[in-house]
Amino acid sequence: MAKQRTHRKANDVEFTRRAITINRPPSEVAAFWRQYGGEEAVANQTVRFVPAPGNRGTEVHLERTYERPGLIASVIATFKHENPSQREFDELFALKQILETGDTVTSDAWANRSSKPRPAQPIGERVAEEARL
Amino acid sequence: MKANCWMGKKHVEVIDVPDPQLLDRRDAIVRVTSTAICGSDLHLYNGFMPTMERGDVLGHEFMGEVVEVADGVDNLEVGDRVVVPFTISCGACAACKAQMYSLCENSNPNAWMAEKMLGHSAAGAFGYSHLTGGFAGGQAEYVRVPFADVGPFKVPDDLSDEKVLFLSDILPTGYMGAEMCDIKPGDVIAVWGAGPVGLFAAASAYILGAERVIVIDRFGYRLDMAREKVGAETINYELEDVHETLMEKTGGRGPDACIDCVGMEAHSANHLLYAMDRAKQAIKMETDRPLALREAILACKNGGTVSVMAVYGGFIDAFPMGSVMNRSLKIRTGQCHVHRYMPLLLDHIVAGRIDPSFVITHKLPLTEAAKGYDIFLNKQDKCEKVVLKAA
Repeated sequence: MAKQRTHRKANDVEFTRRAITINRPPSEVAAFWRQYGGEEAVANQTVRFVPAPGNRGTEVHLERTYERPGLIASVIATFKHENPSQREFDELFALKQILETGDTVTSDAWANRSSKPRPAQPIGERVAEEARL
Repeated sequence: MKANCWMGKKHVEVIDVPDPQLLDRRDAIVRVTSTAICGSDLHLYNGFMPTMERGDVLGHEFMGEVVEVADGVDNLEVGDRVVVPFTISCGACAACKAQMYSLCENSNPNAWMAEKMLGHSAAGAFGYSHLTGGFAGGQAEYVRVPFADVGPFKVPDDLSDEKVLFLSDILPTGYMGAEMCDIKPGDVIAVWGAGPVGLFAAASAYILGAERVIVIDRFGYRLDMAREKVGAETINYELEDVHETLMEKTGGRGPDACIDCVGMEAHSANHLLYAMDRAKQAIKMETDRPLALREAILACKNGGTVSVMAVYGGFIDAFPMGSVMNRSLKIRTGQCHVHRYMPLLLDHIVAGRIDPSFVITHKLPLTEAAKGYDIFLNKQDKCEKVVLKAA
């Protein structure tokens, strides 16, 4: 899995890019993205599906531009696990997991699906039920 | 249920936590019968690994009985007796397809966190910090096992827990350490550390055809075990100069391969060197003390292999790269790809070529886990390996 992330900043625009390699053919990855991930190119986003060399599946290259948030908003977003680069990671990682394994893996620390991890110990039945929904 | 939780530096406690639930369609729940304290658990206990949270359930060496399976698991049934590898692996990504299971690309939900520290993430693991995913560990009465159609390995009922438990980590880890040495007839292998992984690496080196194996440690009782149970030669580094003795034992060539089974909390007979590394570690100039690794590199023969199976968490200082480069050394390392080795090593156990239970010196109930950590850390009562009985 080759992932890269860079930030480029110009005026009030923040540019992020991230790539991930998925061990499935480009046609399958692109079709899945179109069905569940939106259009290949929307106003602030471009996504490319490139065959990975050596029959290693598909490189997905995702680029997005954002209006640069203010300092306080940026700190809050990072604290809440919601900054743009984190969102890109989460989306691409979920895409890879679903296409390669059929599901996303749930760890005990994130089982309550909140933005803040909890201790790595089992969750109660009620929270588990909510997590499954 | 009862589970042994990390509550802070040098503080573990068995407390009541909720029973695990099936969360994903490839999950299983295992009722733990035996679990062990690993040397690498002591790094968590001593506070050297980042991203621990108060209340984390510890433990990555465990086995037991399957009591529940989700609908996506078709190769396990309730009642199966299984040993569970310490890494969590999906079986479908490029790394798993290449049998490099400890590099699974899909099992660590905190891969973003690991990327920041390591460049890329390795696999998720049970009970080993949030850097490896935040999965509850196996020092508990029950544990949820993700990707249960890939990890749990069925074992025959006629083999005791003590004989097969270590298939979960330390036996394959020691074996992989020896295998990475590409041992040829006549080879002399040196192993730093006579803990359980070091002893299994030494035993594996013999299985793979080494002529002689030399084990280095400072605890006499562990060196006795290396001689008596494995048939190795030994060096007590507090009594003999390691480099000089190794050169003498190998006709000045140095060992053909050196295996580091000590890692980030190494000690040294050179008290000045130890103090310097300890100080750097304390002020975060380095995260790990590579005293054994440096020694292994400098001792290895020209063109030889240094195999690193011990745990390193981050960054080290004063690494002798000049010796590696100028003397054409090969460095091989990695978290063990446990799944790859389980069938082969079970065959060795069944055939009687190795009985891993010889390392067990202490058996305690799970409820006495805190005592087990204390005994293991302080090498009390000639402690080599602590097994906790959960059922």
